[in-house]
Amino acid sequence: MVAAELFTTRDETMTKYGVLLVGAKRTHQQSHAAVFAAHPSCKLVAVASEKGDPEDRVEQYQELADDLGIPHIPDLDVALARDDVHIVSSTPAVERRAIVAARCMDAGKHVYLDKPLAGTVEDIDIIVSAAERNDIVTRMFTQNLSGWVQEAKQAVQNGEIGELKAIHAENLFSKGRAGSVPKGTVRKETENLDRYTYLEAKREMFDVGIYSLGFIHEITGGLKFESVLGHTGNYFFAEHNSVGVEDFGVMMATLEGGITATLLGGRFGWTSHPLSGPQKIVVIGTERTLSFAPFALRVEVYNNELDFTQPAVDPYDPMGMWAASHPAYAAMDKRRWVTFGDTGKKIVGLPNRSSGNVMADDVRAFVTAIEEDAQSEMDAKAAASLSEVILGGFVSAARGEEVKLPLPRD
Amino acid sequence: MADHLEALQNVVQDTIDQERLGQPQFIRCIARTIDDESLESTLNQLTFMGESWFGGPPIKRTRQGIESGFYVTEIQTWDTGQSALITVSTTISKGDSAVDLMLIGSRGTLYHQG
Repeated sequence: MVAAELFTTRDETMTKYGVLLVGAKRTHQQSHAAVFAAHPSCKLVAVASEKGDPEDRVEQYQELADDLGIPHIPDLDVALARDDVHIVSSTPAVERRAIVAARCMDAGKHVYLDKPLAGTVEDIDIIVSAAERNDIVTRMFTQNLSGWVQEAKQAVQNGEIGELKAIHAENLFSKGRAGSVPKGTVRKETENLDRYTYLEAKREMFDVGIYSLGFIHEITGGLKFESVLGHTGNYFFAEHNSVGVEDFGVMMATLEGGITATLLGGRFGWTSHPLSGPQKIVVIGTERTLSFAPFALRVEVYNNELDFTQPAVDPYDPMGMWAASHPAYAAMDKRRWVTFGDTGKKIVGLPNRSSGNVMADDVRAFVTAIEEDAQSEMDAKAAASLSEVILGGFVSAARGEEVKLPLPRD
Repeated sequence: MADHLEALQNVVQDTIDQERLGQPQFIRCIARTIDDESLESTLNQLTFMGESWFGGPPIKRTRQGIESGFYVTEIQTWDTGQSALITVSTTISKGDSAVDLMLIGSRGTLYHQG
């Protein structure tokens, strides 16, 4: 389903919010932009980059602006001074997220934040402080509004499992050419993370594990994490191993009230799953254990169509993180599993399974919070707490022991 | 349960031996059992399966939940870098699988629900 189909018919007179895109092509900004552009209350104003961005990075901002037919402003302060900018969609490199977000918030703009929030405790604190000193709405993207996650939440809230005692959440991306990691590789985690951004790899427990943490936050009603035990691996990709970042992570945490939470996050290869990758939530209560997964309701189709084969390696995006840079590198559709949710239509007799585009649902919730002068449930503070769990997971993996949360500040 | 696990262990081992998964790297297993007395024994059975697939015992096992009397969960790590997350619970639902297994290898993944 394309973003434009997700909202009611656009009426230009309804447009209330100008949206500034601070993020380049080959970031999540491409997805954010499509959804904001389709929202009836929003209008894309410009793409902005920071003064002093590396030249190749600036080119990617320009490319996104050209694709969208809007101007590129190569000075964030100039862009933020415009009074037709009300919302910033912020997806800069992880290393720049705190500085950019704080400047946008201090300019009085509502900020839609890429996930995770930031890569250090110091940066997380900068963002939370900026959010708290300004009268603005913030929201970090998660997949929490997916219909199947909401079903799990409702089941717990309705008491279907008795009292919640443990929860497991997993989210793995089925992209990239797996199997290239040298045999016998044993990852040695480090505590001090100074770089997150590479062409060929991302920190996958960081980037994907945040979704699993979001599920746990949503279902437990935001219970605080008190401790975390983490383990990271270089299990699949030579690319990740060569730059020293993990492609997989597992964590076990204790939440307030003594609830156990376990989660997975990672990227494990194009051909390791029939669709986009396993997603699952298991809730264990005093009376029942229930499992939820987005692909559980499906039909499977086996015919004489070609099976999925891996695409050629995209030189601009070897892991398939973004839209292909050229049609020659585009992945074919996986068509064996057809989920009920693929139609995007409400299923009679089943709870709401969302619009089929979770980012559209998320942006809608963000804009609604602005309109209602309310704060979103995944605001900067909530996002900070989840991002800090992952940072704690890295520390734990490096030390080989459980780490208490929140992490100590200097 | 024991027969089920033995058959599962064998078919998974065959798949590993045929090098269809690459190097086995991670196990996620969520299992149900009938009573609280068998929580630990089921966990140990599943751990034994992981040992056979990974070629030796884990060097570290970190456990939560056993005091609840109805679930136990463990993260296990190996000196060869592999890891496992195993959960066993007794608060089952009608029709649920006894074992929900995902064995992730370096170039492929095996799933079992049964």
